[in-house]
Amino acid sequence: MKVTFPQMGSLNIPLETLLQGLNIEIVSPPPLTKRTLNLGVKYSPESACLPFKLVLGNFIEALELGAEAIIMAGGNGPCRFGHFGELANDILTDLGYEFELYILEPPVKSIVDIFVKLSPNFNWVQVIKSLRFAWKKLILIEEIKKYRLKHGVFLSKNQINKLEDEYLQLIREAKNKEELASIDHNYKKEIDEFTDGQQTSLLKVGLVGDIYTVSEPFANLNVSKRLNELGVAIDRAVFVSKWVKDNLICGALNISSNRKVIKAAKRYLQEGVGGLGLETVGETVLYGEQGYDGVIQLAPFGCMPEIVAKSLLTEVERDFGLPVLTLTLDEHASATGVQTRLEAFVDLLTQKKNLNKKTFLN
Amino acid sequence: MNGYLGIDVGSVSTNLVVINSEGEVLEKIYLRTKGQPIDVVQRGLKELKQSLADDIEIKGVGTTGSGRNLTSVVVGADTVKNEITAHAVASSHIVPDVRTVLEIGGQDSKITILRNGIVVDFAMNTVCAAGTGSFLDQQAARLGIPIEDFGKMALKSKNKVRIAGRCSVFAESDMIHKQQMGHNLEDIIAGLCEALVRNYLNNVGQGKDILAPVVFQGGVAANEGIKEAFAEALETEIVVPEHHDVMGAIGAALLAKDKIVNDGEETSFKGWNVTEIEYTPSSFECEGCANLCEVIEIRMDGEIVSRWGHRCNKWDLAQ
Repeated sequence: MKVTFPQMGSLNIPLETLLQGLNIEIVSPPPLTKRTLNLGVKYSPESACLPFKLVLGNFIEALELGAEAIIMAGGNGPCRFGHFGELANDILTDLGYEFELYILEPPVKSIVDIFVKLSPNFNWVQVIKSLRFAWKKLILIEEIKKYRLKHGVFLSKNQINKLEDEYLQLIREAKNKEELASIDHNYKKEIDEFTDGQQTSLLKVGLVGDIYTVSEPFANLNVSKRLNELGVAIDRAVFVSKWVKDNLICGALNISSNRKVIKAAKRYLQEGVGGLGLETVGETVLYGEQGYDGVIQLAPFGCMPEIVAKSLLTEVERDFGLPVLTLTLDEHASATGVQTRLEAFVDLLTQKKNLNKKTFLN
Repeated sequence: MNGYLGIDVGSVSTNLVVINSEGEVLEKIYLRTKGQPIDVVQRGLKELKQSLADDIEIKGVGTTGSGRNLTSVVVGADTVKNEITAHAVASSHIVPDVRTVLEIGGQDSKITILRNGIVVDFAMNTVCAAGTGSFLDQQAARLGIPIEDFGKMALKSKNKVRIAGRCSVFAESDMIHKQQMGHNLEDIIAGLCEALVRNYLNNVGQGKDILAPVVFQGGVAANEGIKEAFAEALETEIVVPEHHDVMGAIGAALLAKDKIVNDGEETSFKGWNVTEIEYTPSSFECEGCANLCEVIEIRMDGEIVSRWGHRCNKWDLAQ
């Protein structure tokens, strides 16, 4: 049975490695394009959030390519994400697609059962081996992204895209951890060569918000690359590996690993509000404490957890003198609008930083 | 005499101003963009050249607005700046102690908070354009009132009617309903102004520290009804600058002047004859990969001078 899964950022790479390691036949979801968005918008309820629309559109594309089963994560709590699987199932069935849907959610045993069923020759040795290699790939992908966010300042969007696409492909094809190590080394060297002799960045900005919108450049209109291009060094608060560690592993063991973030948020918000709402507040506070110049919050239009966080960020903003820009994104968001706001935000941060020096026209 | 040219190409209007070394406006032109930014800029320049005194020499050019990059290619700009910064620069130049700038244009509305001449916060409408100039235009046309008289009529109202202003479509049906109930036009228009201000303050102005002096600018600032509604809602005097409709262009000109004066550089202005050159924009969808980028290119007399919209560097012009 050919299996597909939702695309988010570069998540297809570790998932391919994992599933192929279990000898499960896959149909990798095609990259997100305007067509994905159009399909998703066409068949989703109008009020569904952007991540749902993109995931649904992407499922349709994968089914067209011959996928017979869909695996996706589920969840509980106030975010609509927990409802995505069932909703997608109903919509796709109504559209006449024939497929099986597997939603991965606790208890752990039910997840194992799914893989036992899908894998023709399930064995634990193979599972652990594939899982470890897939995890290594995930960590490396995040590592090269982090490095670029921090050091790739003043690189043009096009330069970054080309370099990143090239190295992601290498990671995708890598067969062992030695290859991964050399990819890591070469990538960093290339970024350093590109930026060598360039102006160093003056501004440090933290990126927070909903995990899908932060991770998927198609959803956030390439915010991080635009910021790099404007000469901003970025620290991204949200990564899949962190989410897996905090929610799946520690959640299953019933220990909280992101205690630091929850503690930081405490003055403003004491309870989880679904999604990453609590984390958005906590991470912003931490950026404030670390002396970042500003924070950008990415939120899909109508995302309840991020709306709650946004209203609290107003207070964080005041307490830390930390400018926060919220970008609300949906299928109507325009790249021009995002670019204008980012440029103005960078101007604001630059002026604030140079308060004692020359400012615009003063 | 030295002059600095500022061009603001927005979605609805295109404005050109020339300022002198003191930052005073010598000449201004307000045109409708009508979806043809290059054409309208060329037309504007032609008009400007005719009305401008002969002894004025353009020493710097700045562009702003959503068409800022395109325009900069066409005219040869020294500075290209987003409209949020450009507007703030202009208002703090004209009202130096300004702390709040309210701005409503054709399709966008924004608020900028300044302290000590520095922008500290801003917001711009994101997913909805209810209550911007285009909607007022449309309503004025529907009611058969010239847009210039719209505000004056609102001031005549003695008893404002409450209009649902959250969404412009519903605002329209509510207005029609109120007309059918027999309310007079002045009261309905005043009610609409109030609804738009309420909507603006709840959306764009949400969570912002609005302190006086408050400057109100953008095309809609010409509407006295809206100005009055702001004054009432904020309980403070609202300053509408003389050139409120071309503030973006003034900001762009000031930024260009600042750069040229500080860096001591020559301007990149291509000269008045850019109005004679034929620029043709075109676009195509690249099918090189699944991204299907929409690539836009500008040809100057048939030769490609600029290209953008692509994700990789396949379509970069050789330097």
